[in-house]
Amino acid sequence: MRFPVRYCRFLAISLLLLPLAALADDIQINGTCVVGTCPPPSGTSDALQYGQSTGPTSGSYLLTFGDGDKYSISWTFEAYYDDSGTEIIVDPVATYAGSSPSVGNDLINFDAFQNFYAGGPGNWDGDYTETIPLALTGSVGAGSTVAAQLFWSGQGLGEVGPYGPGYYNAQNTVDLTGLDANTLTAEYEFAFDFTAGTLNGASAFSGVPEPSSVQLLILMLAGTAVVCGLAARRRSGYTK
Amino acid sequence: MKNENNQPPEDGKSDRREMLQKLGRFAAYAAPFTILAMTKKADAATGHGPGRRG
Repeated sequence: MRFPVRYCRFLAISLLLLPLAALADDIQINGTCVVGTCPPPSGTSDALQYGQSTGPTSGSYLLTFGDGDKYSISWTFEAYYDDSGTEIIVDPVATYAGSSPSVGNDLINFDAFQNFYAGGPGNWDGDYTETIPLALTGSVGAGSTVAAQLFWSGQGLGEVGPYGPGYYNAQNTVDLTGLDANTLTAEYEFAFDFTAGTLNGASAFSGVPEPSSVQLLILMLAGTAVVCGLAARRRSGYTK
Repeated sequence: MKNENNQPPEDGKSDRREMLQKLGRFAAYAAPFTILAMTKKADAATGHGPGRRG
């Protein structure tokens, strides 16, 4: 069977562009929907279906309170629905960007949404787990805290925090029932509370970057190279 | 048939080999950026569910 060179090129370019193929994520900061639709509508229009994924995507937003306190907020987001179930991964960071100490008590609510959809009979019931690393670093005002919780179709897995300065990691698993609708919603809520007196560079965040799904991509690229290489040898008249 | 004499391939075949070499170079340059883009936030906040079962 012939394996045209143009197929090799198409396959390799498709693999390299794979990270750019993403369905929209939905991000809300203090009630303002800064990405997508918050919350996303039920149905297929803004949902991952089996075999689909989104991201990693990233974004940033400058939040300014009425008293002039400014925070730089950035995040990454990704979600999957495959053989291992439904998964959502969120990594928000809020950093005080004012040049002088903050003057007010600044509460930042960061919400990330993702819907999943499956038609036909059945339900989404079962064990759901949230794994939440949280950190509050730098010179934050006295009494500043971080907290987070993941909700699946409105059912919370338990709030993590509120915690003061430091690094934390918590995990909760809950057996959820009554998830009969075709659409399953995930809402990851983070609450970063910076009190007055916070200094420039103080941050609240969840997670640090670490390579993971790299191996899969390397394997796919290597496989493409081998197949294309063999095809090239065959077409060039080289045989073993 | 094995090309024992290392003769250059016929016309057209050499074009394809050149194209594959270019593709290889392109992949080598682009792969690190792609890998960086595919980097997962392994220590980020995560949530996991079982998926829909019938």
